[in-house]
Amino acid sequence: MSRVQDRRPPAADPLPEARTSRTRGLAVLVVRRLFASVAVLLLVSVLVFLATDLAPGDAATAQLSRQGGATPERVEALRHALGLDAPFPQRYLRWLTHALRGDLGISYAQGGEVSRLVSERALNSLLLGTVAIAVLVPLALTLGLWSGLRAGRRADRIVSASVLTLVSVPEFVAGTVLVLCFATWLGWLPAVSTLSAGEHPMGRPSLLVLPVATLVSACLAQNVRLIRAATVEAAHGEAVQVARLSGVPEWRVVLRWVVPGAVVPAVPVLARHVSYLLGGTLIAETLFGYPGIAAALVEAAAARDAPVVLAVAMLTTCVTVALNLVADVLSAIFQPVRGRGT
Amino acid sequence: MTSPRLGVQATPQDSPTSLTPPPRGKASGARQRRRARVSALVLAAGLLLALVGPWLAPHDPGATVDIPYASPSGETPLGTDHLGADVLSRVLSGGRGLILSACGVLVAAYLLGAVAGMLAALRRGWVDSVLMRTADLLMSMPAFILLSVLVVAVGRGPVGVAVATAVILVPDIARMVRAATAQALEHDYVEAAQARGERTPSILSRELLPNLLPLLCADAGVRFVAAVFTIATAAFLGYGTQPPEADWALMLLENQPGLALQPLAVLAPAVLLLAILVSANMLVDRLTPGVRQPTGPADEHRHTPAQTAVPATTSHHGEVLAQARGLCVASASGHVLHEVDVDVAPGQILALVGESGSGKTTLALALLGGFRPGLTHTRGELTLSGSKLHTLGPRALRSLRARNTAYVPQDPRTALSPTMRIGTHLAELLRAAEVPAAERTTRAREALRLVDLPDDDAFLRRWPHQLSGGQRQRVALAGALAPRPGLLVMDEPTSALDPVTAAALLRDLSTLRDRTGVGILLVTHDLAAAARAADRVLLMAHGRIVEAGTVSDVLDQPVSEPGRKLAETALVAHSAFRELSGATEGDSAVVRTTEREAPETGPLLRVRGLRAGHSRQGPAVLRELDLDVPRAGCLTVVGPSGSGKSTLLRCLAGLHPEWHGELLLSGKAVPHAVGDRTRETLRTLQFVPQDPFDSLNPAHTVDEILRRPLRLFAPAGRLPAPHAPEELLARVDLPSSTAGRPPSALSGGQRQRVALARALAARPEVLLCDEITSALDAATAASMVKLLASLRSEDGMTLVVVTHDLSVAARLGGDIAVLRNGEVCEFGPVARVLTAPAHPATRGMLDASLARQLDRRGSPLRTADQKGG
Repeated sequence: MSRVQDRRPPAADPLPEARTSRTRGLAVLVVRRLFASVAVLLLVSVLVFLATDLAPGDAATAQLSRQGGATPERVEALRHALGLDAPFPQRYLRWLTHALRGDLGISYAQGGEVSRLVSERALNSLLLGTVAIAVLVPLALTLGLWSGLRAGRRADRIVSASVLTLVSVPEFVAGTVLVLCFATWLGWLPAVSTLSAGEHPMGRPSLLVLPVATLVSACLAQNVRLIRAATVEAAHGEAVQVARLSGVPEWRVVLRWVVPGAVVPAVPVLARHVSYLLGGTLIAETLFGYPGIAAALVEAAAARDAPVVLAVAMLTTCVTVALNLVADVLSAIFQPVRGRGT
Repeated sequence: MTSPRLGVQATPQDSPTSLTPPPRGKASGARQRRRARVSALVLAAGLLLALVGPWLAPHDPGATVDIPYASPSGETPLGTDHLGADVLSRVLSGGRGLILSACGVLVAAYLLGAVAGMLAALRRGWVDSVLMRTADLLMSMPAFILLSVLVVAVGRGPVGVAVATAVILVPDIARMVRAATAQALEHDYVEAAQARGERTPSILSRELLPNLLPLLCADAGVRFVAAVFTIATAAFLGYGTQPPEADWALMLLENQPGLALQPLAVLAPAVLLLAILVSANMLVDRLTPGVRQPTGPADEHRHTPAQTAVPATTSHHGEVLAQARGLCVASASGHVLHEVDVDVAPGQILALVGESGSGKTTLALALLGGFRPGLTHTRGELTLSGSKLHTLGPRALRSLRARNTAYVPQDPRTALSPTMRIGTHLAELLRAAEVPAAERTTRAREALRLVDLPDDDAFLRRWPHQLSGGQRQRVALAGALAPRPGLLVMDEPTSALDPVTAAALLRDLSTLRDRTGVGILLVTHDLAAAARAADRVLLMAHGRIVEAGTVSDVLDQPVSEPGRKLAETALVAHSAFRELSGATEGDSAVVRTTEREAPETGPLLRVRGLRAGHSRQGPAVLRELDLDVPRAGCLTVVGPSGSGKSTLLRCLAGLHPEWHGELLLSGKAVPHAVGDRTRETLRTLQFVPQDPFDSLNPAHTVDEILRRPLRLFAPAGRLPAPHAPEELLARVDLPSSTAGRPPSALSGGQRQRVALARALAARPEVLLCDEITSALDAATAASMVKLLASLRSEDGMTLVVVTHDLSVAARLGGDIAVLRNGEVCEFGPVARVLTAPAHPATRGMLDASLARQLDRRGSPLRTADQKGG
C-alpha cells in the first residue's frame, strides 16, 4: 500500500512544458509551412514565367496585330516602349510587382484586362467547385465508413468493386457517358452548360447538375477507398477491441473510436481534391463548355496567350498550396504525431 | 502518394510501400485469383488490339467513306464519325499511339524517378533535400495546370504531352522509390552488409534490388495506368494528338456533337479505353500488397449453440468470477482450444503461461465472451459473473462486460485510440459502465491515482502520444480499473517493457489486487512474470492446459512434456546463478575460465572516452565510456532499454555515424566509420545483428549468404574452399542440408545460427553480438549461449555481448558492464557483480530476473514485497 503511494511517478513534472511545447510546436509548424509555401509560389512563378516566355509572340505583336499594322519596325518600337526587350530577371520582377498590385496585364488573344477576365471566371469555377465539394465530402464519408464497417460482407464487396471500377474511369469518359445517358437519351438535363453574356449560373441550377456529377464521380472513388481502408484499420485495432470488451455500446465505439481514426488519414487527400475542385476543373469545364477558370486556361494555352496562362496557373497553384497548408495544419492538430516533418 | 493531384485518379493504391502481404481468407482468395486472371486476359486482349489494330482496319482511318454520323451498315459496322470516316477503322487505329507513348513515358519516368529516389535514400543529406524539394515543387502544381503550362512552352502535339506526362510522374515515382529504399535500408541484413564493408553499388544490387523488385513492378503497373490516363486526358483537351490523326480520346471530343445520332462513335473508343484502364487497375490491385482485407467482422460472440446437458439457468457461484468447462474453440484449420477448464476466483492472480500459438490469448478473450475473427466456439460452457454466456444476448453481454470485466491488451501503443484524450478515454469507459456523468471525472482521477499516474486536469487533457510506453500501459490499466470490475484480463502486460519496469508493474498488480479485491488473469509467455505476480499458474500447450499449480509445483514436479521442457530451461538459467554463488568460494567451472582470463599482454579491444549521440545537437546517449576486453575474454553489456547498450555496439562495429573517443584493437587505433576501416580490421571485428527474422536477406539461400563474406574476406589470391559453407554450418551445429534453403524455411534459432556462421565466415577475432537471444524462446536461447561459450573456450574467440538477460551473462562468464543512462554504473567480473552487486540498478535488474527468484524459491512475490514495504 505504502509502496504504491510513496513512489510518485516522474510523469508529474514535465506536464506544463509538454503543453506549451505542443502549442509552440504547432506555431513553429505553421510559420515554417507559411515560409515554405511562399518560397514554393515564388519558384513556381519563375518556372511558369520562364515557360510562357518560351512561347512565340508577346504583348507588342498581339497589340499591333489587333490594331492591324504589325510591321517588324513598329513591333520593335513598341516592344522597346513596353520594356519587353529587357533581360528576363527585369521582366519577371516587373510582372511580379504588377501582379502583386493586382495588375495581371492584357490578354494577347482577347485584348481585355486579364484580372477582370480571370476573376469573373474564377467565381464561376468557385461556385461549381463548392457545390461539388458539398456533395463529395458527405457522400465519400458515408460510403467509406459504411463499407468499412461492413468489411468483407456483401455490401462492402459491391461498394469496393464499384469503387475499384470507378477509380479507373477517366473524368472525360465519365462525363461523356453521363451526357449520353441523362442529356441525349433521357433528355432530363442540358448537355452543355454555356452561359449567355451576363447570365449567372445560379439562375439555371440545372446547368450545374451534370458537371457536378462528373466531378464527384472523378473524386469519389479514391476518397471512398481511403476512408474504407482507414475504417477497416481503425475497426480492427486493439483500441477498438478494448472498447468492445469493456462493454462500450457498438454505436459509441463507431462514433468515438472508429470515425476519428478513419477521418484523420483522409484529411490530406480530401484537401487535395478540394483544391482540385476549387482551382478550376479543367475537364468538366471543357466538356460542358462551362465558363470557368480552367476552361479559360485551355483556351489560352491553345492560343498561347501567355498572360492568361500565367495568371490562371499562379491562381490555381496559390489555391493548392494554401489548401495543402491548411490540410497539414489540420492533421497536425487532429493527430500531432503525424505530419510534423517538413 | 499516387496522383491525387490529377484530381481524377488513375491508381487504386494509397501506399504501395508496405511489403507485408494482406491477409486474405481462402474463399475470397480464390475469387481474387479468378478476378485477377480475367483482368489479365482482358488487359492482354485490349493491349494486343491497340497494337495490331492499325493493320486490321478495313478502311483508311482518314478516308471519308459515307455521310457524317451514318448509322452502322455492312460497309461500316460501327457507322461513321463527324467527318464520315469509318468508326471501326478509327477505333482500331486510335490506340497504338496512346499505348506506345504511355510505355515510353513509363520507361523514361521510371529510370529518372527510380535513380533519383534511390540516390536520395542512400546519400541522404543535401542530395536528399535537393531532390525531394524539387519533387515537392513539381507536385505543388496541379497536374493539368502543369500540363497546360508545358504545352504553352513546348507547343501542342504528342511529344509535348509525353514530356509533360513524364514530368508529372517522376516526382511520385521518386518519392515512392525513396520511401521503399529507406524502408529496405532499415533491415538488419543491410546493416550486416554495411558492417562487413560492402560498397554502395553492391548493397544496392545484392541486398536491396532483389527484394524491391516485386514492389517496383506493381508500382510500375500503377504508373502505367496513370500515364495512359494523363495522355488520354491531354488528348481530350486537344493538347496531344491533332486531327485528322485517329485517337480514342480525341474521338470522344470530336464526336460529342453527334452523340444523339451516332453514340457508337463515342462509345466504341470509350469502351476500349475503359477495358484497358479497368483491367489494369484490377490486376494491379491484386498484385500490390496493400489495404488489409479482413475476412469477417471481429469479435462478438458467435456461438454455434453449445451442446451441453446443463440447463441454461443461472446458477450463482459466489466464488467464481469466470469459468470455462470443456471449452473447445476451432478455426478453419483445426482446434485452437481443446476441452479447457478454467476457474478465476475473486482476489486471485492467475497466470496463463505458454509459448506463442498455444491458445492462451484465445482462452483469455473467450472468458470475456470474445472471439477473434475466424474462430468459433464449438463446445463447452462459459460462465461470467454467474451468467452463462450463451444465454446472454449482445446487449446483456455488453452490460455485463461494462460492469464486471476489464481487458488490457498487449501493446500499450495501440491500446489507446490516438484521437482521444486520456480523460475522454476514461470517461467513455465509465459511461459504458453506466456511471453518471457527474461522477466520471472523480472516478477517472481515482483510477489514475490507483496506477500511480498524475490526476490533474493537465494530465487528463493529454493525448496518448504524449506519454511514454509505460505510462500508456498504466492509462490502459486505469481505464480497465475505473469501472471497478471484478475480473481483469491482461494480455502480455510486460512484453513491451524492460525487465525493471515490468517488475515494478507486476509488484503493483498484487498491491492492486489486495486493495480492490479484483481477480486478475495474466496472459504471459514469461515465466518470470508469472512467478513474480501469480498465485497460480496454468501452462498451456497446443490448446490444452497441461500443468496447473503454483510456479514451484510446476517447476518441481512437471507432469507433462512441455512442463518438463519449461522446468529444464528455467533450471539451466538457475544453475548458472547457482554456479556463480558457488564461484565466490572458488570451486566451479565458471571461476576456472575467469581465472584463465587474467590479462597478460594487455587487452585486445580497448575503448577510451567513448561519447555518442543520435544527432550532433541531441543529448548524449553514451558519455565517456572506458572499457577493456582481453583476448579470448568476454564482456557482457547489460542495462534497461534506452541505456545505450545497442548504440555502444554499433559504435564499435562502425555503424553509428557520429562518435568521439578511441577504439584500439591490439593497441592500434581503429577508424570510427566502417567505410574508413581496412579489410583486415573489418575481418577482425564481426557484428551479429539482433533480429534473426530480419538479419538474413530473404532473396538469397543460406549458401549464398555464407559465400559472400567467405569471398570478401578470403586470404589474398585464394578462393574459398567449395565446402566452406558446410564447414561453417557444422561449426554452428547445423546440418549441411541447411545450405540450399532460403531463410524463410528456417526457424528463429536456425536463422540466428546462420547469422553467427556468416560472421564466422570472416574468421574474426572479436564477435559483437547484439541481443542475439532476445527473439528466441528460452530453450533455443540457452543452446545459443552454449554455442557462444564454446566458441570462446575452444577457438579463443573474444566476445562482446549486449543483452538484457542477466542469465546470459551468468552463463558466459568474463566481465560484465551495467549500463544506465549512457554510463557504466557497475563493472567487474560476472561472478562478483551478480553475487554481490554494488549499484542499486544492478540489484534492480537481478531482482527482476526469474533465475534469481528461483534461487529464493518459496514465495517469490511475497519476498519481493516484504523487502520493499
